[in-house]
Amino acid sequence: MNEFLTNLEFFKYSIACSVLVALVCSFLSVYIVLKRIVFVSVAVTQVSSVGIAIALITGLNPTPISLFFTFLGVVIFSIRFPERRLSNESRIGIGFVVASAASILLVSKSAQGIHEIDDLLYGNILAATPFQIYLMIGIITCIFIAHFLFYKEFSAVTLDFEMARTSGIRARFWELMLYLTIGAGISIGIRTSGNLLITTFLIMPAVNGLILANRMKNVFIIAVTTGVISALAGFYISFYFDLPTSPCIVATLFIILCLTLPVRFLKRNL
Amino acid sequence: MIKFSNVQLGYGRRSVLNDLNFEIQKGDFFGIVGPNGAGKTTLLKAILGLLKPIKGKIHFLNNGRGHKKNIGYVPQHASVDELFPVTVLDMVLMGRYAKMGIFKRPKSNDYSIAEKMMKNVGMENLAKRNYRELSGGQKQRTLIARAMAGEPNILILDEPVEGMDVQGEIVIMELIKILHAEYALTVILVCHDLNIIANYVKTLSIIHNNTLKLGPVESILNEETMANVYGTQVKIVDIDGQKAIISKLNE
Repeated sequence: MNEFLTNLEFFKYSIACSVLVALVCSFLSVYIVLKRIVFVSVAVTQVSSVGIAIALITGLNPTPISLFFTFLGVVIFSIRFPERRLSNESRIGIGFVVASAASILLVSKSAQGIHEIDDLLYGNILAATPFQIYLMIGIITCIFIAHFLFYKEFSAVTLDFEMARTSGIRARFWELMLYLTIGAGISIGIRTSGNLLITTFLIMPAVNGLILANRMKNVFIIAVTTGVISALAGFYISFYFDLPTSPCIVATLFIILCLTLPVRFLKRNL
Repeated sequence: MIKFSNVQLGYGRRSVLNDLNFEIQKGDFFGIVGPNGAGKTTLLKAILGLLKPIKGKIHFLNNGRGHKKNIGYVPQHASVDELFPVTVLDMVLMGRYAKMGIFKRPKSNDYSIAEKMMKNVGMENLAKRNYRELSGGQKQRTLIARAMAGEPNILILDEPVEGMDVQGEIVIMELIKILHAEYALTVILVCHDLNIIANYVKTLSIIHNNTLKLGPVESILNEETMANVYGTQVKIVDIDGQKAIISKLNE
């Protein structure tokens, strides 16, 4: 622990970045899991990686490019087409594999090739700079303000889209707004945290919250707490055992999830 | 109150219902029946505004004072996702969301309306109970309370007694009947159970062969029409003032 604390100065931006990503993605994961759009979020994350790949080969700032591609993905995947010949699930699957291939092809001819493919998948936590952190704080603040102001619209379109529409709520508009906040959450962390970690934060914390809580407020609290604790613990484990950070955080989250199930069982039966 | 003028409904180029010209009067108890795949859901979606007509117009009129559409929609209870951890009170309050306006949180008036509607449907003692822990009948009553919380003038119900036992069916239908009378509602009901339809609705519309046959339930619900629409012989009998529709399986 002492060694970790000694090196804290060196890691402070990386840790801050991981915690911020965990905070926002864990919060958004509640909507993703409840709305049953896990595959949409995975595909959007992959589309966001295309933006990062372009930024890597052009040397441009990755956040705005990733943001643009993420919003593009959000708009494409949120459109509901009649499922006569092509199911929406297939469309999302195609989007995922095409975006995966495109991002790999884009970086494969760059000077650092394989290294940059690794960056796409696992992120580059060392890419976290003070500017990056301030930008993330700004965008995350906007996301939380939007969710505070529009909770009833977002929850209505998540729970019962048709009821929301028939009752007079502009359901398509609010659903798109919800998806855009999810897209913003994805794009701010994709460069530093990578696909694997973002996808994990967009699913597992909410699952943990939904297993343990019976009220929406508590689901959000448990999801965010789980995400942040696993980010910090995973970071420490990766430092201590000299392992890659993202897989350590994923493993920590999975262990927490495995511990949750017996807690739920005991809670129900005692 | 709702007027269909030369309406054609369908999906893409595929037409499901043609030449719909009819009116649903204010205060009516309007039933929609028809065989599976006839277009009941299509008609319901059009009334709800979820499906745009291919041709023609659907007008919502309010006593001739202009256009007004204030619909309370009760979906099939199985269509509401149980993953969502909400209490009965939260669920009913959702019916107020559109009335509250943007940026607004539920106020004491919204809570009192939600509580009144829970009382109307007999759910006031279960206000803090999680929606997913309710029985099918309780869920249906919660969804009716949610629809009523928006203070609608039209209440639309999609298969409200689907999957319920006989007692549950009667409780729900009697509740709808009371609300219809108490709040002077126009009720539109999609139901495949002809016995329910026969005993509760005033006006009946039968969807058959891409079109709609409509009239007072007493005149339209007869053995000949039923045989023609459903392709099976039925007998309509009167038992203590209630109609019962029995399939004649052996013929």
